[in-house]
Amino acid sequence: MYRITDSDAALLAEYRRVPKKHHSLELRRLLNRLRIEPMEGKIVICVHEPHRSWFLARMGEKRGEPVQPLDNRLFTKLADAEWVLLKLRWEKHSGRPFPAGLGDEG
Amino acid sequence: MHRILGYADRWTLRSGETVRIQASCDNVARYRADIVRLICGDDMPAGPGFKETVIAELGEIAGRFQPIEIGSFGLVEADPALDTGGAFAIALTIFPTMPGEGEQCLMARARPDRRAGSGLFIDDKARLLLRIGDGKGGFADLAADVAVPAQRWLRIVAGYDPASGAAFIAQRGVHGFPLDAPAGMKRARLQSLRPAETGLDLTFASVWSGREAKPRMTRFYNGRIEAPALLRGNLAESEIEALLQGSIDDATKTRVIAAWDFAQGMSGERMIDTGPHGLHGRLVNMPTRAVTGARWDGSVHDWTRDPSHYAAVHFHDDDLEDCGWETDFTFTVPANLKSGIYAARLTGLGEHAGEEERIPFFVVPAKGAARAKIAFLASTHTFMAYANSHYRTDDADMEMKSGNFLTLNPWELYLNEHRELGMSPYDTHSDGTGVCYSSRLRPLFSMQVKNRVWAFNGDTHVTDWLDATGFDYDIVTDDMIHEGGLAALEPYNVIVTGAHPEYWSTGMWDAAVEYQQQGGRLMYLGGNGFYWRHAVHPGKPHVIEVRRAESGARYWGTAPGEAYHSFTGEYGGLWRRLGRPPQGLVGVGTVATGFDFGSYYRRMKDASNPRAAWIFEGVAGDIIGDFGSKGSGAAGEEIDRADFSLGTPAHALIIARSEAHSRYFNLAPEETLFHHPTINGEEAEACYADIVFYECPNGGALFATGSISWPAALAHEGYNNNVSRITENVLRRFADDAPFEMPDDAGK
Repeated sequence: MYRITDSDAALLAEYRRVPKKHHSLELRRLLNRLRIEPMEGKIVICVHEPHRSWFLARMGEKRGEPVQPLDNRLFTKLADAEWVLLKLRWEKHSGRPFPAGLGDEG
Repeated sequence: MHRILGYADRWTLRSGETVRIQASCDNVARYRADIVRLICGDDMPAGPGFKETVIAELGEIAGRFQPIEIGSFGLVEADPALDTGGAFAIALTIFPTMPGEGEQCLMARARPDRRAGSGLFIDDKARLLLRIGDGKGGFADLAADVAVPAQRWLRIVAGYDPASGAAFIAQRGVHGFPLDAPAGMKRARLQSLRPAETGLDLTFASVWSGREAKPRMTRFYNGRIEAPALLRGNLAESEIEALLQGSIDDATKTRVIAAWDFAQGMSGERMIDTGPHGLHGRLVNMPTRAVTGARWDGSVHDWTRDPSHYAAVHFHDDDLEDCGWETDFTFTVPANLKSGIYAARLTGLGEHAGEEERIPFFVVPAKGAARAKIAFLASTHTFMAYANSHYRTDDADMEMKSGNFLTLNPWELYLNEHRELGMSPYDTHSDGTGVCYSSRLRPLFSMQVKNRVWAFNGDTHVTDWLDATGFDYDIVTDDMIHEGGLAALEPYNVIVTGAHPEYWSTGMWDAAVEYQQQGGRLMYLGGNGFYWRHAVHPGKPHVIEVRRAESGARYWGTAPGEAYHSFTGEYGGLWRRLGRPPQGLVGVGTVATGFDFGSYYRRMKDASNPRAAWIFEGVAGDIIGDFGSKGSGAAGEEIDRADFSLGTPAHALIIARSEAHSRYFNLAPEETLFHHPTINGEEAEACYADIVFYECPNGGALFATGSISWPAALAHEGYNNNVSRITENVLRRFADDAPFEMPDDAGK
């Protein structure tokens, strides 16, 4: 499994700036690592109103348990929800604080 | 959302036939019922838009909640011959998969709510537990000292003598591993009780709860049971020892009240009793059959050759065959109703006015009625296979597969929480084993419109386009082809598939071959088609079976020794692994899947061959399909390519090929013997979709696009685009009676 390094922090801004289709190999490697998680307790994005609003929620600890919204924030752009989720995953899996000043968090 | 759910008793109807609609309402007091003709189910902003037309108004109907009984079990109805009349013993062989996950019933003739009867359970500490109750307050139980391990075969004998209260539980591992299941023998003198069992059914893997309404069963067991038997009298030590070794001596045989042999009647639901009274039972909710039993040693892989190796049934707490709901209303197809996709539309009234449910069915021409020259193939068996899929909420690898953070839709959150609706052959049961069976006698989210653009909903891109371009067409369904073979196809000049005709029974496959041999034309407008063989229950056309043997892109793999379908005895898996690669039937076969972005095709040299040049009439430039509502490219999601070594006909013309796929496209397992870094869309040598055309015997022809995303590009810019034009050119020519001529060099 890929081990996140200090230099990976510089890739986070690319996630916000560059369309997904054109992400660098290094960023893709980092994102793959941030996606390796069990489903139990995983934080995911949920659609609140189709094509209009999204929220973050935590999966249950067992199959079939309802997701629990992380907070009462509603995102009107999917990209904003993804950005906040990226921050949470980064901090969880890298053990490093999310770099300050990387852009609007939505 | 989803406060109204329902299902149809049948999917394929002709004029004069009646569909029954069953619905359950969650606090929706009244709903309005209409019949609509469905044109397009895709309501995504980038799609063609949702389209339907009301054709009949059926009025208001009172809503009601209808419960579901999920979980499989065996049932032998109450019979005086089951009465033990005194001392008795239970013998059976088990392979528990979730011991310790709550109390689970192995075999009982009991009503736990009344503390009546007797039964053998696994308790919540994973110990065997014998329970006796006289129904008058007298109750006794005996728990074993050692826990039963998961995933190990165990033989068990337990007994009780009402006269003395003497009870025992003996258990022994069957075979196989250096650290096998611990043996145990526990004896105790319990209270002397007469088990109140008269009039009670005998059940396996679950027990009656005492509730009058569904769910009526409780204490579901997950795992396998083999050779359960009920014996009369006090067993001698030697008799117990013989039973623990898997044999039975002559003296013990005389004690048999009933002994069920699950190796018999493998394709159905009967439990055959080989004992003196013929106390046959039935399996409820379709536990998995044709699974390896305690005798299986790897020497047999085909259960039809030696069923004794397959004498087990695998029960799951999430098996479901039939909701068994009462009918809410019916609709009889009028004589003049045009063939097409229809749905019962149920719209909530009052405080739930926003609730709606559509329950699709397919109206096909009456026998002997006039036919269009074109038929659209509704892949009803594929729709059944996708059923109620949970892989996006259950499988931790979905983010890697999609190249995105997981974004769950409301309907997926609903399905996650409502496991009582059952699963799909894309899922694993709660004990981790693969789901083999799928029934349509329950609400199926794979049949919902305004939903994921996949399966049924995805295929409405084709019916939408047929409607928009003014082609007259009939519907044929997988059910018709499976049941009727060639007769279902031969009235038509051309059969047009949807985006994903993935599952083909042997009968369907043979019919497609015969149709092409006699001059029928096929337009395969999708990807990952003609991929898996499936089986249909011999007496229940509403149930299909899938065994995912050996290879293929799949979310679970068939366990060793279980590759043969229980319904038919046929070997399961990919048609490619069965000596019939799809390339031989439709010119292309699955090469890769990827779900981040689609791509475009580039016109190939063969496109200018006079045999195919007409396909590009009115099409400018070399780039085709660099647009679409799925991934922004007509080549995407699941793609197929030509492979002459796998049967693409030698005279096939590869007229366009996709390129520039992403790293999140990866070759299907059967395309690479071992994994290495260059099996992704960016780097792999052959990771692309091919558009193929070739002539077939007797004036026929074949056109394939090799991509699930092709139909999602048809509506781009008001249907005025090169994907639409190519499709139209081909369909117009394929519908024409003028025969195609095989080229002189065909077959060389």
